[in-house]
Amino acid sequence: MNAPLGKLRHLILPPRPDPARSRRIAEGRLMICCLLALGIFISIGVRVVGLADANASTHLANSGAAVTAERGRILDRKGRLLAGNLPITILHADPSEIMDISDAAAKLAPLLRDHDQASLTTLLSKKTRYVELDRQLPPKRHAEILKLGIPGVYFAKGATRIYPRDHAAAHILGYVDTDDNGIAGIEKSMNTQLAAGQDVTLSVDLGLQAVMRREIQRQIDSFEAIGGAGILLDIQTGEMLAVTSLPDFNPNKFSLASDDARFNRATKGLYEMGSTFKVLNTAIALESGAATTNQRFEVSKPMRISRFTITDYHPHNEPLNVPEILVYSSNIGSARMAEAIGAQTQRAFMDKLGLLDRLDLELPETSRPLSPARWHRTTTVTVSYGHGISISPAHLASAVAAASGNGHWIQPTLLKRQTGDSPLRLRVFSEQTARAVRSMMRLVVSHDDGTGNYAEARGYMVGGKTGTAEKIKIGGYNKKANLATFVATFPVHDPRYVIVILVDEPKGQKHSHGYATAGWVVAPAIRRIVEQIAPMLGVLPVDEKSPLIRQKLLLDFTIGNKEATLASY
Amino acid sequence: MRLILLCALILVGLGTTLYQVKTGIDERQDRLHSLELRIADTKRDIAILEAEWAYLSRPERIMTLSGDLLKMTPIGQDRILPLDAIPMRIELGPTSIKKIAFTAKQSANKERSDLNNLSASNAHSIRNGIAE
Repeated sequence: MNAPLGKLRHLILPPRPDPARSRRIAEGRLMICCLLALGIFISIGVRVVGLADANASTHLANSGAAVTAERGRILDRKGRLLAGNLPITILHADPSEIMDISDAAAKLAPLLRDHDQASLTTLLSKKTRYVELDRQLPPKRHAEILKLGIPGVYFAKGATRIYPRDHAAAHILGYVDTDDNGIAGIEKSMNTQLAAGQDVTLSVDLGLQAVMRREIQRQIDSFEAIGGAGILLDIQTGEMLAVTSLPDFNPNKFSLASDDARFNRATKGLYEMGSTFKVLNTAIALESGAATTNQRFEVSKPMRISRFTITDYHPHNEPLNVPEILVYSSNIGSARMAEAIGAQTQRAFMDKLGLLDRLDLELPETSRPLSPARWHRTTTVTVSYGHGISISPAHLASAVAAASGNGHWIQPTLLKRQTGDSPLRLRVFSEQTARAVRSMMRLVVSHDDGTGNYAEARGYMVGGKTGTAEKIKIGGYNKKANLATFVATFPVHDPRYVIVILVDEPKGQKHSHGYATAGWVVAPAIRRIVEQIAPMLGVLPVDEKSPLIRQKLLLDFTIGNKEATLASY
Repeated sequence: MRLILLCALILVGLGTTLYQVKTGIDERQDRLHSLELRIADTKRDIAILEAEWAYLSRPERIMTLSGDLLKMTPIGQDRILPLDAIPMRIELGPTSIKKIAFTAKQSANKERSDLNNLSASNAHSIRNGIAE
């Protein structure tokens, strides 16, 4: 069999090559096949790795986008939530996909809060691809609408800004528009940080805020006032622990609030503060050397300056010393002291106390005080008892903190100070001046003839000054519209807090014997506030007759020909 | 030839591993995705609960509730004392303890005798009362 084939072979095929050569050829071909296979595997491998990698990176991109969407929260100084985000379901529709508009409107109308059948029909007949039907769909409604099975109706997950404490600190927090951009308060001034997802911690304490708001509201109600404001300031750090402006509003429904309610009286409202300025006048007189504590000023006759006549509420026949001028709240005495101070010095102190400039607070709602461009003799005199210059309650709080604290003016803030923060400090008064001023402020409250007796919270050493000013109307002062102010500092022996409370247009009541003065309207609120907040702030009641307390105060004053000693304290 | 065989084996091995790694990645990605969804859901729940808690713990509400239901009022200043104002326990030596024990015993004895006298006189008066 082999032999004939072997013979035929040479007819078709070339002669058998050398075996060694044929082996080389075979090996060469095998190698080519191998390389080809290897090439295919490698290309498949590269492609697979590439695909896997591409998938992973798209996933990462998605999850990253979800994280950045959340707006930062606003917390109080103890970390309690003041503004946060609430997850909501948004119901929207694509009108072009809805087949039977009237049927869809009839079915949806009873399930939606903001729409009836007619408004839904017009909304769904619009020539757009997106209409929003409900921004805050409760889960139950969500399920019911799903069950209806209307084509072209969609659900989207979203978040809405909420202020769970309702009215608390509304003016500080502010509010956001529908696109979550802050348009008032901290929401506006801190918008960049909040939008980047960072939380903001305020200096405000929710508990103190609530006490303050309730007590001021109570006075507004019982004296039929049109509004009020309150500030609690930490003297050491400049932190504002409570800031209230009444009437206030619910930031969850800010569009329903009136302009009056949205107005922040505590930081934006400008008022002639009246007699509370005598605290500053006294401090300036002592610091500039224009008066010493026992120096006496003539107050028996009304004082005439250009077209003004300055009189006292309770006239005194004999000359008064500096503490008496403050305790009896003598306008004439303050005016005489101001004349001794001089216009330039007074203006320079007002400037140092920040009363001529906009307060640098973390709020868009601040105002530039109204003060005369030229500081005349009349200005000097009227400013001494708080007229002719209009400032905000926040201004007053920070200035009195300097005069009655330790003499430093500290930059006030609405953000919690972090450990290691060094706020801007300016020495305006000496320790000695500040000590004399707060000792006199204590007498206003503790002395029988003082104007602020009702502010006495036993054991907490409250010092203060009342101020009842007639409100400005066009062309003069309105005798019927008062502004009752009280500025308090406590505890006087170790000054830590300043409270400013203002009640706008209180009316005399039967229970106040017709009076609508600060001593009747605001002082009782100060007492109740101090009694409630002192335990919260860790301020312990003290026995003020103890030598340890008495040595921290200046007591060598004479009030009404009697030494201001134990009897009056 | 052996080299080629080895290469082929390695290639097969690599291919299999690659395939398994890839399916493994898919599986893990699915798990990651579901975990992310669960985290997002939990975060939503937390946000809702936090808001609810904040709403329910409004100081105004707590003040009204504690006033109406628990009759709570602000603490008076006469009820607050610093810790140093509370007298601490006096440290006692063994002799003084003995002394205290002795006086305590004495006073106890005295009390007992007082009590006996009292009961005797009581009994007497009662008897008298009955007699009268």
